[in-house]
Amino acid sequence: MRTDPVDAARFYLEGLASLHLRKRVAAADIRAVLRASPPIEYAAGQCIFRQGEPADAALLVVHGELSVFVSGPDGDRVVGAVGSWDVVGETALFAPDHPRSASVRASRDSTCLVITRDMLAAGRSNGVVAALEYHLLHTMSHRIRVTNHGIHAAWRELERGARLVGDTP
Amino acid sequence: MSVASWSEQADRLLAAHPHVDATPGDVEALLSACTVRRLPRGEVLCREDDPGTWLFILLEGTIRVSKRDVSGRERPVGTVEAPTLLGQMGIIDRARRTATCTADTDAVVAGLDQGSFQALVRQTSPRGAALRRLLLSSLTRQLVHGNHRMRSLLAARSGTPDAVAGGRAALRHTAGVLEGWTDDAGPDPAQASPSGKP
Repeated sequence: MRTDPVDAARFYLEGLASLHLRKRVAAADIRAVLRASPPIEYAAGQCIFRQGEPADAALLVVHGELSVFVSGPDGDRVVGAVGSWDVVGETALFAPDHPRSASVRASRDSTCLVITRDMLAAGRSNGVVAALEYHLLHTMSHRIRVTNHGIHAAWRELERGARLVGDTP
Repeated sequence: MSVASWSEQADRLLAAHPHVDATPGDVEALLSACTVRRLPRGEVLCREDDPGTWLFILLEGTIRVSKRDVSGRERPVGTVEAPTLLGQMGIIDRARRTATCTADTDAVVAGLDQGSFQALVRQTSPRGAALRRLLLSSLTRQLVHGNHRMRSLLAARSGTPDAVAGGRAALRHTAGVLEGWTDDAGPDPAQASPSGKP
C-alpha cells in the first residue's frame, strides 16, 4: 500500500523531535514546517543536485536512497550513498557562497524534505526546526570525524614513508 | 585587558558568522549563560586527550593550537583569533580533546559546561537557536575548508621524499582545520612540497 508522503513526513518529524529534544513537539510546529517545505518525491534515476550549481538548500531523506557522485575527467565517481534519516548538501545552509561539490541522484524512488535557509529563519522558536538543527549538528560532526579519520590514516602513512627514506622532521 | 560589553561581543560573533540567522539579543542571552574566564598569556585552556566537557567562545585574544604527532612530539597546528568557537567537536560528541590550546596573548573566554550545553542545545528558544546556528556555521566552515585542503592534497600527491616531508605538515594542518582548531586556510597544500612538484 502506498503511504501518503505528507503523513510519512509528519510521522518522521515527530520521531526526529522526540529522539533529539526528548519531548513531543506541537502539532502546529510540524504543520508550519510541512507547509513551508512539503515533502518531495524523486523517481529512481532523477538528478536532484548538480556539481558546480549554486547551493541554497539541504535534503533530509525521509525514505529511499540517494547516490552522491563527483564528475571528473575520467567520468563519474560515486563517493557515497545516503538513506533514511541522512542529510545531504547541508553546507549550503551556512556557506551559500560555495557551489555544490558533488551531484546527487535518486538511486531508488525517494521522499525528501528540503531544508532551506528561509525555513530556519522563520523557525527560531519552532520545535521541529530545533530538532532538524540538532540533527544537522550530529550529521556534520560525524562527517568531519570520518574525513578526519582518513586524514590521520594518510598522515600515519606519510610518517612511515618518511622513516623509510630516512627523513627527520 | 578591557572586555567589550555582551552587546559588542554579540555583534562581533555575528559579523564573523554572517549566515547565522540570530539577533544580537539572542547571542547576548547565550553569552550571559556562559562562565567567563580570563587567561594570561601562556596559560593552557585545554589539553589534548582531556575530556571535551566545555564549549569555549574565544571573545578576546589569540590561542595557539598544537597536536602531538604520531611519535608523540608536540607540533604547532596554527593560531585562532577572537571571536571564534573552540572545542565544539568534543562537546557535541562527548569526545576527548584532539589538540592543546594555549593563550598566545592575554585572552578572555566564555565557556559552557557539558550540563548547560546539553540543556541549551535542545532548547526551543531563540537563545538555543543561536547556539545551534553558531555551531552549525562553525562546523560548516571546518568541513568546507577541510574538504578544500583535502582536494588540494590529493591533487598534490606524489611519492617523492620531498613530497612526503611537505605532505606531513600539510596533513597536520588539514587535520587542525577539520577539527575546528584553526580556520587559517594556510599555504596551498599543492605548494607544500619543498620540491614544488605538484
